[in-house]
Amino acid sequence: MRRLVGILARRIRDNLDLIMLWGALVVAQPMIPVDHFLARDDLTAWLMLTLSLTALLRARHLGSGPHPMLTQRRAPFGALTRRVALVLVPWVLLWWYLGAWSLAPAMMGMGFVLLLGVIVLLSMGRKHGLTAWNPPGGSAGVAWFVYTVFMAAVLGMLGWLCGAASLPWIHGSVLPSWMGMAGMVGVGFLTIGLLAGRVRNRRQRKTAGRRDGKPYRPDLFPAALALFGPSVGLALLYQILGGLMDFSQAYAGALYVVVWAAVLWQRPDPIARACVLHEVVPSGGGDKEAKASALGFDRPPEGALRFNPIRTKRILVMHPWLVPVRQARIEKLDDPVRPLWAQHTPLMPHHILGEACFEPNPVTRATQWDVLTIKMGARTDVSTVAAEDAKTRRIAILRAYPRGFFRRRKVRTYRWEEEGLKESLQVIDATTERATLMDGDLLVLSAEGVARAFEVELGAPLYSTHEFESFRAPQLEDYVKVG
Amino acid sequence: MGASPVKRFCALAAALALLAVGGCFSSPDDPGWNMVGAYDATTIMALDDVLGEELPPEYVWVPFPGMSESCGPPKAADGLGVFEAEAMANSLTPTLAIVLERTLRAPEGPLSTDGVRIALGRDRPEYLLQPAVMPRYIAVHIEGEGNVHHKQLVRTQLQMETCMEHKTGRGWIGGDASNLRQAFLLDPPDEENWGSDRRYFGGQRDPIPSLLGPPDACIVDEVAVSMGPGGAGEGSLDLVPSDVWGASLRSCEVEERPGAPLMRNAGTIPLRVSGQEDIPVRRMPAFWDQLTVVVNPYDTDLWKAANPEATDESVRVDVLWAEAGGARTNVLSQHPLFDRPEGGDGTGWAAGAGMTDLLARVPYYYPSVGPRDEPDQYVLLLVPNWQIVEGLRRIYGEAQDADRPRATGGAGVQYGVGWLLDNPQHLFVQVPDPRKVAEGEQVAEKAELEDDTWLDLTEIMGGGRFGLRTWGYTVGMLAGRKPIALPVDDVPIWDQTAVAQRAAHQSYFLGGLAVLVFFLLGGLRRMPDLWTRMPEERVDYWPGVPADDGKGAGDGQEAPEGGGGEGGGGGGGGGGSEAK
Repeated sequence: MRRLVGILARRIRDNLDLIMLWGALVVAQPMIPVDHFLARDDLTAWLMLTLSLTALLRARHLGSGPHPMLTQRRAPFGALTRRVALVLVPWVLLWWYLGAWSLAPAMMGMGFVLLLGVIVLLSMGRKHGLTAWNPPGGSAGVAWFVYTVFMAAVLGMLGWLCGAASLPWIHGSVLPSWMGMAGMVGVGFLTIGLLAGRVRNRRQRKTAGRRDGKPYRPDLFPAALALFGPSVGLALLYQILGGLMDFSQAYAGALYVVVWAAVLWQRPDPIARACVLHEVVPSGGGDKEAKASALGFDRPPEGALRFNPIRTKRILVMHPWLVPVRQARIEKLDDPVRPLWAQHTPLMPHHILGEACFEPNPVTRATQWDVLTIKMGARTDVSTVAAEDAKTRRIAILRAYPRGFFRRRKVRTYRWEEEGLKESLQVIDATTERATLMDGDLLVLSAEGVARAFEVELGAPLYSTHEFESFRAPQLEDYVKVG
Repeated sequence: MGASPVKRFCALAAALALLAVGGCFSSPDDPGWNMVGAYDATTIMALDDVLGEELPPEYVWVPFPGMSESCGPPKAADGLGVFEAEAMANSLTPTLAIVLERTLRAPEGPLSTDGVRIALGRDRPEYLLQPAVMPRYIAVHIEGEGNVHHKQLVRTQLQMETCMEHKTGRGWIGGDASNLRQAFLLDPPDEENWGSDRRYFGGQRDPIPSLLGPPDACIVDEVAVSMGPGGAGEGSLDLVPSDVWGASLRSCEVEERPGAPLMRNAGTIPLRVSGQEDIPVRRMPAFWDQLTVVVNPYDTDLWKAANPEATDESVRVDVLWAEAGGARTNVLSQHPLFDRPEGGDGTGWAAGAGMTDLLARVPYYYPSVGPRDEPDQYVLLLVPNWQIVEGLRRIYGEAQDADRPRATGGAGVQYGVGWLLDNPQHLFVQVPDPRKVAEGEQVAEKAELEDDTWLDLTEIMGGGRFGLRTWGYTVGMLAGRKPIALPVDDVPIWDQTAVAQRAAHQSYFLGGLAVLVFFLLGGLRRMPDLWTRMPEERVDYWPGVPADDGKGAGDGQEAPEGGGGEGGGGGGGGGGSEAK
């Protein structure tokens, strides 16, 4: 059950953009006039609109991409133009299909005009994502030309068979329109995925070869899945609904496209996440003065200052921190391509508290970057015993609102202690091996008569190794300066 | 990385298989018709006035000259001078428009008055509404070997009823004497409520279907009988006895044979369905139908010998109805011409046999609209406001008797159409169960409102199978993509369709629902936080800038209440390293 809830929550969170897109389409659907171009009963226009919008949000290349040891160029304007080009691709396919469907040269011409726009936009964004190594091999222009002609022929034939053809061997009947609809969706996913990649990337991998010395063979499964998965599935869905799909059921078609976008264009996992420890001071919470006489153990002590995680104020001191995200699978190691030069030393996080990272979810084993795990180094983290003195540091992590549906009560030590949740308070002592930090947690450090509190803020995820490697790891003096 | 694409693909395939299994268990319950629209036609037409550049042409009721010549002038509802069809087409009264869509299980041909019933009620149908029907063009043929005076009686009955349909613009669907008088506006105003009587286009108490165009009728193979000496009501704007007794039918022309088109425009109100530019109205151009009444002889010697006690009550008639489309219906077969009312106790008026109402057995049809290849795909039911108001007052009035007419307009709901659309749980649109019809089972008569064998189509107004309306889906219609039909010349534009089908409201609702679900799930997720106890950490010492004079240092009691936020509060930098 916990695994199921965890997976569901993770899926919803990761695909929130697509869920919101689908919701927007559902809301907009009743407002589309029945005679509008988008309201075609064969759903081709609506599905292509959905595909276009999902491409705007998620479009990624199919396959392995460039060699992992090569750094891609960043060109913000180029990224924009490439994204717009991918958004236009479904409309090119749609005009070709409809042009053949109704034998309207004007529509096919519109498709070619849009194709020209796609080519121009792609050429404007050619610098984005470019890698330096350009080994010799097959020409990208020839490959794209062949692919374009092939796709135009496929879509033209599909539209012709569905709309206007009169096949003599089937006595004048034509293919049902849902076959064209299903075919277009598959071709759309495939084309966008291929256009998001580069022919150069294939040449790089082919030239580099594999670690085991075998020649490089492209992974065809993603492309086959993109082409046949949505097509076959949509045909099955159409049969399940009894062939009654028209624009009234456009929400179902849009959901179908969105789901396949989530399958094919998964959001990449970050390699690290920027975190900040805000130094905070308590705002209230002081006890009345302690009495002269000691109190019994059955009564709460007096005279202390109580830290409450929601009664703090930030001061203008903060400590940036980059925490790596551990992945259940290490893509670089999984990638069979032969490295171009000696590998980097693995990143070693350093922190006062020990080794900190975002570990995969222990239940679902999925990569996550919401719960920061601190592995205590040695037992000396909290206690040191010198020749003439014993020093103890106490570290407590206060969590105002623990997450999750499954909560446990804290075991009380003293009778006067108020009941709370086990997840609300973590005390790091000599036996503690790991602790977890979440956004908003309060970290209280007490050492040598000095107590300081830090509020944890988990910031934006990072996807570039370069940013991570250039970051200075925090040191002990950044947090506790003993006067 | 998450699951591999193969795993995701398998999960998707499993979901599709689950959907397929769910589809196998869903049993479609097709009643033959789907209700795809319910709206106030007047409001939607007014929207076109606002959006359109030109005002729509006004519909004028033009009676057939032959009918005016033989029956006298049409008079419509007393005192107002317009027919109900004119009032509906010209937006003079709110009109409830209900659009039904034919499915594969529906019987072929147009929908007759026996094929659907619309009623008001609280938990069950209590009060029958009568939507407007298409006019008939009847060539009456009286034949048989029966006595001449029996034929004359038949002729008189048909003349009176067809002429009253011509004069009042209403269709006669049968009923008792009281219904007949109310249908044809024959009752004088109530004396005790003089001045507030609702004859003046308030309907005439019991709902009667109005005609959507002028009717026509003639008699075949008969010499026309001229009007009586009193004329046929030419001298009065109100109905007078000569309107009834002066009624007659002209002789049919040679061209007015069954199946032949009318020689002039039928003059029915225009009907247009949105999204369709094709010819929308069934029976345009209209055609002649034939009503054949065969009066059988009873006075032959042989028959008399076998039935020595025979009287007029033994006269039998056959009634045949031949439609322009070629369909022939045996309406009555060997039916007594003179019949006793059912339920009579043998005394008073019911003791005597009355003449069988022949014309009431002939079916009326509701207007059909649709594209050229499926002209009967949609059926438009138009109910004027007064019928609904009357029903609501009967049901919710002091008497709460759905069968008792209300004498006066009274107070209360005036815009019955709007009230009904806001409270669709009181509307019943029912059709006979097609499975029972196909299996030959007896289906209850239309007027038997107590019977529950008819299938209700108004679920869609209440939110479908799951009753979404009771869960807050106040939009009320789930058929937002379906076309609407209006009594106008121009095809309704999308803005009219969107308003009628509440498209914008559905969008707003869906958007609001999405936001609500988002916050609801978020709220549920955070609800335990309301009673979560805040954790606390107690410390005895709080760091701060040590005072120069050492004041406060080391006593460990300088932790201020609320002062800690001011940059460290009191001293306490030194002292022991205690922290609890």
